[in-house]
Amino acid sequence: MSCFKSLRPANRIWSRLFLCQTRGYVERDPRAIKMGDLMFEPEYNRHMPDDGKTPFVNLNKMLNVVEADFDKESLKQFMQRKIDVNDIAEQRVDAKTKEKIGKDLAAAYVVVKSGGRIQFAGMDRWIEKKGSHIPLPNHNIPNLKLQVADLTGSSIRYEGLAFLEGTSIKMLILRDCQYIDDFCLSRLYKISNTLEFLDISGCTLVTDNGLAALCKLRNLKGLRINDLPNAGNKALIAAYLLDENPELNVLGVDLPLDHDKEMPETSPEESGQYSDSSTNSSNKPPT
Amino acid sequence: MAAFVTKWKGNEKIRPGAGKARKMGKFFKESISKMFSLKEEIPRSTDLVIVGGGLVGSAVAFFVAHKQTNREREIMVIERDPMYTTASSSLSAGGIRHQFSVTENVQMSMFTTKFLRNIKFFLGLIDQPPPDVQFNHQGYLFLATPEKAEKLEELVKMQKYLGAEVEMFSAEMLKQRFPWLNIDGIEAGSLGLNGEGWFDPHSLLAALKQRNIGLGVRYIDAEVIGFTKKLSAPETIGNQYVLASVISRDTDGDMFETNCHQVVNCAGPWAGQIGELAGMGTETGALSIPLPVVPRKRFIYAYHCHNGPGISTPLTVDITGTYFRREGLGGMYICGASPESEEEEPSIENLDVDYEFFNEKIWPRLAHRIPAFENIKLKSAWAGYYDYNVWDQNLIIGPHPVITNFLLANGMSGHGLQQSICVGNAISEMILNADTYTVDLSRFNFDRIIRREKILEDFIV
Repeated sequence: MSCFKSLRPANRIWSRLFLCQTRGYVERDPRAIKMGDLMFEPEYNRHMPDDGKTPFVNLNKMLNVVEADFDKESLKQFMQRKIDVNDIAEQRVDAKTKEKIGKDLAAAYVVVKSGGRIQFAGMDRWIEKKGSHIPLPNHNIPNLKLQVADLTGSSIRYEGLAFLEGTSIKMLILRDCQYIDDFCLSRLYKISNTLEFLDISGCTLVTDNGLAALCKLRNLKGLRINDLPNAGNKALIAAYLLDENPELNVLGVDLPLDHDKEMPETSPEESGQYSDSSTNSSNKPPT
Repeated sequence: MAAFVTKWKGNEKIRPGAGKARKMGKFFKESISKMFSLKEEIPRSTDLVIVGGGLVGSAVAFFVAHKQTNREREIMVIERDPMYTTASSSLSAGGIRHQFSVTENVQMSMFTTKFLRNIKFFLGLIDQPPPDVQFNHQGYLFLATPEKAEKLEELVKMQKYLGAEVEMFSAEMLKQRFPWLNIDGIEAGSLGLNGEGWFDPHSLLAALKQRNIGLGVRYIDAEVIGFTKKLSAPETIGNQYVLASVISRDTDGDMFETNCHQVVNCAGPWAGQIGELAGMGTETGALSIPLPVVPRKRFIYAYHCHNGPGISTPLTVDITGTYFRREGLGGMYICGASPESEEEEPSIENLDVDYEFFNEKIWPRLAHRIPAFENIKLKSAWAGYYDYNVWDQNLIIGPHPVITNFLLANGMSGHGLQQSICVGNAISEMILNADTYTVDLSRFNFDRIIRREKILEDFIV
């Protein structure tokens, strides 16, 4: 049942680590700005600090036969770092693949591989990963436009959102994505020409400034912003966004009463709205 | 044994550094007084001394401490204003942009944006929420007259080639996107679409300082009043020497000497004075050239406008050099401008604000460009110092040719906030790897001042 997507075991830390280990060697992106190898060694890789005393008294060094940091928090940080590097390597698309199969199909690959599902223009069924099989063609199909991308509960990151470039996505669902933050919302300007619906409810890292960055989406018609605990002033920012974009329909927030505007109907939260494909077929984008 | 401990031959009041002895009576008196006082002792020797604990100094300390594996270098940051009341870092407008005409400046700001994006990895403490710098992503908008529009387009092409996300807009497109803008006299504009904006510099400084203290960097509340020099080798090339120790005076007036291996000048606007203490501008030859960094006062005015530009307003820089940006969500804006000529430069004696400058120069131009700003109410204003490089208003970075262990990181002339992180990284690469390779800043060394070459930046705000 896809309504339990966010509880998938692959999002728990230990099973993500297992998936990382089985991937094997992960190639580094040669275009990445070199920040120096030593930069990516957080505290867990540091040796025990030198007391500064003479070797006889320096018990730390004497008793440290194996110089490793077994602190629980450092281990958690170590595992999280491994997962981060693996995610970023998986979510990127190299230029050669993009050339071969076209931008929309490459974007579809990224979304589906990260555990999301997509719809192309003209279809009314979701395409998603079945086990580890990705049901997408691996050759270029002309006039194939990616229209809907549903990344509910996935671990898409800032670098992973590079798939947006050159696509014409109309509906983007980033619900319950734990790594989506303000910088990711600023990056959505790439699809500002075509994006009409955006759902970012449940993304805990989003703050007021991230919502303000949504002003770049000039053609947005619907925005859902439930459950943003770190965005305290989301009602005020929604009012500002409405000032600039009168066609926008903001869901999930109680807009402040204004005698100039009508009180919008605040739709009660329907938890199953995006999870069942049968109800979503009524929302399917026009062909 | 006598060769290692030298009798202190200086000013009697300075507590000597490591390896120098004092009279036994003095030593006992000092030990007893130390027992009853609560203040921490300034160390007698250390490896790296960073003069100035603002954004640049803290960034240098952070990158050196982050990259070294075993706490090999003891790092000491000397800051005379621990509450940062007059520090340029806290008083800055906080803007970050990628739109420069010098390629290294573009790369430096992009590095800072990337750092802020990954701030949780660099400065986050385990299991605590990541440090929040309140990054507003609205970008910068530079307006251009018909004469400058073609040049602006070329520069935008250069910035896009380097990876900055900037777009050119014609005047009509600007009017459509920003209806509050008066496009009279404007031919085109360049808008930063991603990675540009403004943030709170003090929270970045606090996060850096907190992380540095966790990494073992010592912050000393003292003021540097001198250096001692020694020849780097018995036979020296030319008159090269090194700085052997730093003499600092703390808040009680006591003077302390600290032996050091390397000194980094991150004193911001006061870098010229520190350079003079180190010997720049005193003797002949390459030493006769002083560090051309002086403080220049700049004002920022905060005002309220009832129905001003909305939430998508970028930090707009007018053709006259006046800029403004939104501040918060309550209709507040801040603005400022640089004076047009050297004669109009305000006095740097104190941080008093000149309101006439706002009434005569800034407000009329703002009201012309944004008609909604004809009715505004000035709420407050403050002043801060630019670390102004009088030679060419660009960064000076690298070791001094004569004082071989004295590293410079000064003269960013108003761009210190944006370049601080990259400058910190570059200095750490110079210290640890003997070269800069993330962003190649070898063009910006002090030699260009000796050779009288300029690297000029077009987009100065």
